[in-house]
Amino acid sequence: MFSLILRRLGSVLLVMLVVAGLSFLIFNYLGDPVNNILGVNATIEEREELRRTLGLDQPSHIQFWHFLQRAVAGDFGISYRNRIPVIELILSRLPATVELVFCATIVALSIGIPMGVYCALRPKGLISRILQMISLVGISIPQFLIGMLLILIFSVELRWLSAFGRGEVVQLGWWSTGLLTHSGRMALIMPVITLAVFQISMIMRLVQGEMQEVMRADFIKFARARGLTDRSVHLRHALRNSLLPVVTVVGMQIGSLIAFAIVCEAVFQWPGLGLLILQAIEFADFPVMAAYLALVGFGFAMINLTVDMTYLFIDPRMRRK
Amino acid sequence: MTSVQIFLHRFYDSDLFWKFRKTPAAVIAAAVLLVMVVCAVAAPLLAPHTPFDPGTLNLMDSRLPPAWLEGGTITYPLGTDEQGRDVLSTIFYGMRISLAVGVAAVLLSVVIGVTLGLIAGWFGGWVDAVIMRMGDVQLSFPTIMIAFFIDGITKAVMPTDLRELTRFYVVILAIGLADWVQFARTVRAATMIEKNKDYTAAARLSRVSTMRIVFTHVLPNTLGPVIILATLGLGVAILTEAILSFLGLGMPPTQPSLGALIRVGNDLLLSGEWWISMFPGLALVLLVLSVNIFGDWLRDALNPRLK
Amino acid sequence: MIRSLLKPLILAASIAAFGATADAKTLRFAESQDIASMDPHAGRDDFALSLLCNVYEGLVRWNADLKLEPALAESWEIISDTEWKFNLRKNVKFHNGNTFNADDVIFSYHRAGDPGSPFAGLLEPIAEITKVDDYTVIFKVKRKYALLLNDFAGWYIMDKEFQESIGAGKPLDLSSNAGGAMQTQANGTGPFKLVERQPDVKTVLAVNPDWWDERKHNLDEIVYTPIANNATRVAALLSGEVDFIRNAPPQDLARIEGTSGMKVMRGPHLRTIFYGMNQQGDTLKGSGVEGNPLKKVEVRKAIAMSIDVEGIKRSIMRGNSNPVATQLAPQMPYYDAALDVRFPYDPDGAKALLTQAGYPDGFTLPITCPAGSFINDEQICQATAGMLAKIGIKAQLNMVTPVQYDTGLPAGEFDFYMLGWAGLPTIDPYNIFSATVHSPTEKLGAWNPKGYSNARVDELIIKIGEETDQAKRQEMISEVVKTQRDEVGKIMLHQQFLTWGMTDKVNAIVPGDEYTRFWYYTMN
Repeated sequence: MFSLILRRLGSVLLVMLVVAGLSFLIFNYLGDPVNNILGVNATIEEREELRRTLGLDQPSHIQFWHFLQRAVAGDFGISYRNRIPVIELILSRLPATVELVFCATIVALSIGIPMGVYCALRPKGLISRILQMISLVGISIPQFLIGMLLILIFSVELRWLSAFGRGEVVQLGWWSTGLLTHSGRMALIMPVITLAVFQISMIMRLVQGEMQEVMRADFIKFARARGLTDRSVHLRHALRNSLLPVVTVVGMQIGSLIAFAIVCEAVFQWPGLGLLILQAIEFADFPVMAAYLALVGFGFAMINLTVDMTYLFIDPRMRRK
Repeated sequence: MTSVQIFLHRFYDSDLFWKFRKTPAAVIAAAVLLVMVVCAVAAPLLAPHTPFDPGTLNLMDSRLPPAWLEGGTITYPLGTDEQGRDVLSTIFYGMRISLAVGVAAVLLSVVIGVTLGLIAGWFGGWVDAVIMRMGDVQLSFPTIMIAFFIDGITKAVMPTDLRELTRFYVVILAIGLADWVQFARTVRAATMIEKNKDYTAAARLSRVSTMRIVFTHVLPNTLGPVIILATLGLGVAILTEAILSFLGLGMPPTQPSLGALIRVGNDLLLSGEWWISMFPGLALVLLVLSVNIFGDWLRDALNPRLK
Repeated sequence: MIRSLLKPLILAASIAAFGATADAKTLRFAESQDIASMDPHAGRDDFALSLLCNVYEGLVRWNADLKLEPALAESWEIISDTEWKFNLRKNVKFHNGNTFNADDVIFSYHRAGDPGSPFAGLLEPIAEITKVDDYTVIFKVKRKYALLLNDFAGWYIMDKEFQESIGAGKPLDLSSNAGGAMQTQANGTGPFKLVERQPDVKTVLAVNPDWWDERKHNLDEIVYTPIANNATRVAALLSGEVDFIRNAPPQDLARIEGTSGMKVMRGPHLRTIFYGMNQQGDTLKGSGVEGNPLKKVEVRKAIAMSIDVEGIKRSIMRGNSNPVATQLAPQMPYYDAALDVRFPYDPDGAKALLTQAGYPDGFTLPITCPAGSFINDEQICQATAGMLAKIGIKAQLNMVTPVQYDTGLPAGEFDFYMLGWAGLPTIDPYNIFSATVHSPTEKLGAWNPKGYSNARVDELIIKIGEETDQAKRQEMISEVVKTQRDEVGKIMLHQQFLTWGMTDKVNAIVPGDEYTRFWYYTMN
């Protein structure tokens, strides 16, 4: 099992290397950061000078090698746009995205699971049909459309909620949180809804499917035969057994949520990683783009690894494979 | 009768069609989908105007509201945008591009996924290991990220003047390459099961070529789940394209998909010209919704586990 | 479930408006992007300087009417053709309490002017700076130079002790963390001082009570928030979360003006928008015809005559533009109204010219268009394609992001492109000419690759940079403008309007260079 972990870690590193390499290849063609740094009035001489200083005149593979050498030591360079170390920049934006994704996941679970359970128990009921229809709409609406409509209604027309940003944030060490202030919590509402709609629908459908399947299993029939109450059968046996795959999928989905957060952050000016990468693309801020992709790839790979490991612990049969 | 014919026979003659008629939601969805596909495919014939022939546009007609509002005219039933393009016609053409991108991207993932899945499942061993590891790597990146990556690579290798012309194919490639893994996994599992069945073993003993066994026996048996996944994947592909376009990484405004139309209209949302973004938005939701309802129904109807 | 969702909403409604807690004299200001850093020497970036002018000051500054006036220099005199003496203002304090003196000027000159700094180009005419006493310095210039004062208005003075103490003695040091210090710190002499900065999130300036100049504004605090999405930014204004947005999109002006308690202040921009094109190459890639049609003046004139700039003004700019015939906006010094006569909009005449030039069936024209650099740039390009189609030219539109655009244009990758130029921070035709009209060389014509080229014009441009006599400059500038117009060196579109949205509480000035000079603002 230990060797399995090592093997997986090895492939994670390989993935990161490939990602970083490919990103370098791309970035050289996305645009030249020199113009943005120097401004439009710079002469051709000044441009060349800066290009030399930044090492941009070197061939791609040499640049990549330098990048790797520094990255191994944890140094991803200085952002061209913000002029601070990339790693510092990413860490300062991480809390905003994590908080958004975390809240959206909590909301999605706490709404999606009950809806799924209800639909599984009464699949033919009217409410179930309505919920199922809603969930279908939920996976059919693009996020940006939800975000735009929310802003139109709750910010512009009703003036209830803030159209942008995180509100007041509180610093806890290097972590910044909006959960401790009123304006911070208010600011979370619309982005969280925007991000959670798809998740709610997906979790509902998943729970319903899994639970319907579990309900047909023999042990449920035995439980009923033992004369347990419906409530006990549904919640203690059926729900519990259908949650494992749900948790796994939700774990995997956190990765996509971070990616989907890009859209949400763009609409609500949410100062997280998604906005950072969009701005970096706009500015041709190569160090930020390379570090972001490598780190996000690493994060996702680690999440997947953790999910697999959890499986190993829960299901001993997998260990022998 | 070949296996394909058997499959088709089962598809039409079994209780599937009966089930279909008994599910109003599926019938409505299929009807809406049919209408939208016809509008999209026949856009050059059905659309009242030719919005992407710049020579026919007139700036005088720009920003007209829908026909039923004051100032609107029946010539432009859903109003016009800033360039004087008929919104209804741009939706027809936009749907054409959204659907084309979605269908082509899904087909691409199916072809790649089914091929790799068959190879992995049939040969097993290190071939299987390599392919499935590739899948794991791919899965550790969300679709948008992969699409973003491929978009970047093509920008890198393509000269500026060709980029605009090849956008369409690049977007297809970006979405299609991002979504093959689920097909590969499904087909691989099905193949492994079929491979060990008696009829396959019998076929192998009678020296039928591997290719023939795979194509006549194994492949048709994996088609059911693939069709379900592909239908549901179509909705996702259309949405992914819309998101990419919204972020400015998808289709350009000169040949806009529904997503690109919404992006352009987004800037006009507060100005009161809601029809420029809302009608394409509505069309997009309706399109994806009917695909999903239909796909859902198909899954329920074909999946014996949920019968 | 629905209850749990609605509860916070109802709560939010009950505590009502957001602005309630904000102080009445706090100006909350939103803009599409954040400034790169608080370092005024880190880039010749008009956008950053347009905000940093509130924190730092130069020896001279532009006033509300864009006339030069003394700032950190009280007076100056021209000792000889190449020597300028500046008498510095006394009793000026930096925000941290340090006294301003000649050493700071010399430090700032070297910080900004030494090789490797982005400002080296701006300060290139200066050969040497000498300190006479603590409040007098002499600048020696390399050659006779007309625009020293204009250039100085865009070069800000920093505090020597402070910069050295935080290790930011040089601008733009991307190889170390030195640039990072200037990300969140600033020490200038201006009317406002930096109190808080979270890059990309918010920047808070507070009034500098010890400012040397008489205080005409009544602002206590300025909170600046970048909001990239146009619709979100306007929504923030409409919902009362910000008081002031610069560059409200033309399509949203009616909505803002129609909202009670909101207004739009307009002003002409110094920037004019035009199409530049390849007039040097012998072929035009992708045109489908022999040779380069754009080399022929008739073809360029035909294109100019085919563009319905009034239609663009009405439909796309919604009235917020001013069609122009020359690159000089009417508010630019040395503007010559007699020359500002456009070719008439005449598609039939244009078609005839095209036939005369040997292209009766037109050709394909690749147009490269920035998506987001200028107001409604994408839409203008699309409309242009429609107009060109009517005279038989098939436009092949290519939209590129601003960063690709800024890379590709000077590199000469585009054959027909949209460009806008405002002549900042110099505010003189020389800046426009040297960047976009002069034939491309090592130092000049960086934004005119493969473009318009005329030896006589090049010669005049150099002289315009040296000549100090107003009448002689006017004569030469008019000649350049006229020659380029008659030869259709550029296809001119319009002058952009500044449209700043704000609440009724704010009284702003809207200068043509787009700078937010908050020391002229008041709030009721």
